[in-house]
Amino acid sequence: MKIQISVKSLSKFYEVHQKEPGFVGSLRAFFTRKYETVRAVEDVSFEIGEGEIVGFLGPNGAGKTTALKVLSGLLFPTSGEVSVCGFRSFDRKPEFLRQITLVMGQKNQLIWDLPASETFLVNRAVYEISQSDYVDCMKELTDLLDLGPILNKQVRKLSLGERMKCEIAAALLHRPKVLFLDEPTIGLDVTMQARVREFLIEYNRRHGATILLTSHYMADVVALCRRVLVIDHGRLVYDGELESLVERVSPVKYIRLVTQHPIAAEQLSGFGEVRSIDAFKATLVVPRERTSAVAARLFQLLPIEDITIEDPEVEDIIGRIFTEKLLSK
Amino acid sequence: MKRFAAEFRASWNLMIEYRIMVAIWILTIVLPLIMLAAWLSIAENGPVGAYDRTSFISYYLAALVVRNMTGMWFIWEMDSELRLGALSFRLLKPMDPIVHYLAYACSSKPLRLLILVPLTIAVFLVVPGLKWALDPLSLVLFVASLAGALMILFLMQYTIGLFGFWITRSLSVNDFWFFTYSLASGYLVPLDLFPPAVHDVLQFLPFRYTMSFPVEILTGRLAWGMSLQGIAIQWVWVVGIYAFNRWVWRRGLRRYSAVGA
Repeated sequence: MKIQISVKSLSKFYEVHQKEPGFVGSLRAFFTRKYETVRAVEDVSFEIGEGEIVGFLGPNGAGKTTALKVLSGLLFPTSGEVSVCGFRSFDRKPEFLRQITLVMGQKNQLIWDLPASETFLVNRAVYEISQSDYVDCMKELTDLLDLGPILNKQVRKLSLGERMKCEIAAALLHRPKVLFLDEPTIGLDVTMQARVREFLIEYNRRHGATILLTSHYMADVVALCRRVLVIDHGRLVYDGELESLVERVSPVKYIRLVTQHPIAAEQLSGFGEVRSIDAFKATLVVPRERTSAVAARLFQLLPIEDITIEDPEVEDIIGRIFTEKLLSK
Repeated sequence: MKRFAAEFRASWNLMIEYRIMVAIWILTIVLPLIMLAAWLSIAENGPVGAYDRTSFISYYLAALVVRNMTGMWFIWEMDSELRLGALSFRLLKPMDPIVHYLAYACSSKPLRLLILVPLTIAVFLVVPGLKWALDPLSLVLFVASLAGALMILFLMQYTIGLFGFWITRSLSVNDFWFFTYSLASGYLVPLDLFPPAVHDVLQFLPFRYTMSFPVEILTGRLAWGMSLQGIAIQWVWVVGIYAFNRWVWRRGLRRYSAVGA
């Protein structure tokens, strides 16, 4: 597989000045500024192959956005090497910029007071897209994202979801090979999120595009990414399959059972950790490898009506990674 | 050029969207009119320097036209783009943002012209004996001088806008700049009414070439040889300020990309 994104010992530090709140604080900051170095990204290395969709996970302020900005050439790395599509990102060569795109869910590139189609026309000229390519591409995007009815409405009159679809379309008109997506589904309702996910999968399938995305919605990550990078305090703490991450940090399964007669917690305590109990219903947490054995014994010893075995929600797992520092070295 | 055209088109559509606002903008450029009123009352008792009342009206009408056709107001847009991070999107495109801002700055000009022409004709009908040089040669030279003035003013404002990389309020620098421009360009006071020493100094600054110079052509105060020379000097300023602008741009970008775009 061809390597599209290669990052070697990337670090990005910057200095921010501290300001104490209040008037006296402002005054003090005016005369003597205290600077603090923020280690946004520290010694991060990874490679991503052509056509991969990789999720970039981490709590707020972990350095995800900074990393994406370095990769797309907006920020100059403090140290380390970053190569995307064979170019050094920060050189921002036109040939490089034509192959990438960055979508920031919280920012807006569309011309606010005009219909989105105006931004598309500007982008068409800026990227020097030929008429026939433009028509093809617009047709594809209009179909996939259902843009038809909203293309000629002023951007400021669009709903958030409609605007996001237009943002994505504007960012993909030049058919980039590498997509950096920072919270592409933020603020969207569930249907619209699903729509954007389907679109990304389809775009990836049709054009073999490489996608690196951050999201707060686990559903995005589960639906799109087999592989995830986990970053915490600027450091890469995990790089691998989402599934093995789940196994590694959460080696348990949930057994949910419904009984014929009411049962008490003491009756269950021998089988595993009791997560919840409510007369006829209970949830047990058991080690992954003992799940089937425990389930069999439950059937033998208790008046079981129904039993289900579930993986914990990925969301919970990721939450635990950061709150309990499960991956810290 | 295609890119400029596309950017121009989009900005032009934006202007059409704001058409009433543009009309108001034009009417709010009243500074020359206030100055005119002041000079008219002074000139009641006889000419001031080489200016009698009709010369003052001719001068300030020309100043109004030049101000509208060369004035730059894009720094507010630039300031907000810089502070809110929208510049990042421009940096991700294979086109220098200067093209966008130039197109944006020029896009209101046709609309302004559309309003200025009838306005000027009306003034000509009401005030007899206005002294404008309306022969084809002067008009061509005037239009050429407008282009040079516009480029100087654009590059000055773009450079001040770039200061926003270092300071959060490049707009206050712009306010200070506007104050200097108003005095030193001939926008408020015709330059030949200044004491000769000041007048001589102002010849060596770029400001004269952004206002007084086109006005001098339009009011027929310059021989065409002098006009050509002036246009050449305009472009020397354009090249000089552009070179400075590129230097500021490179340093600014380095800073932008060091502290967080």
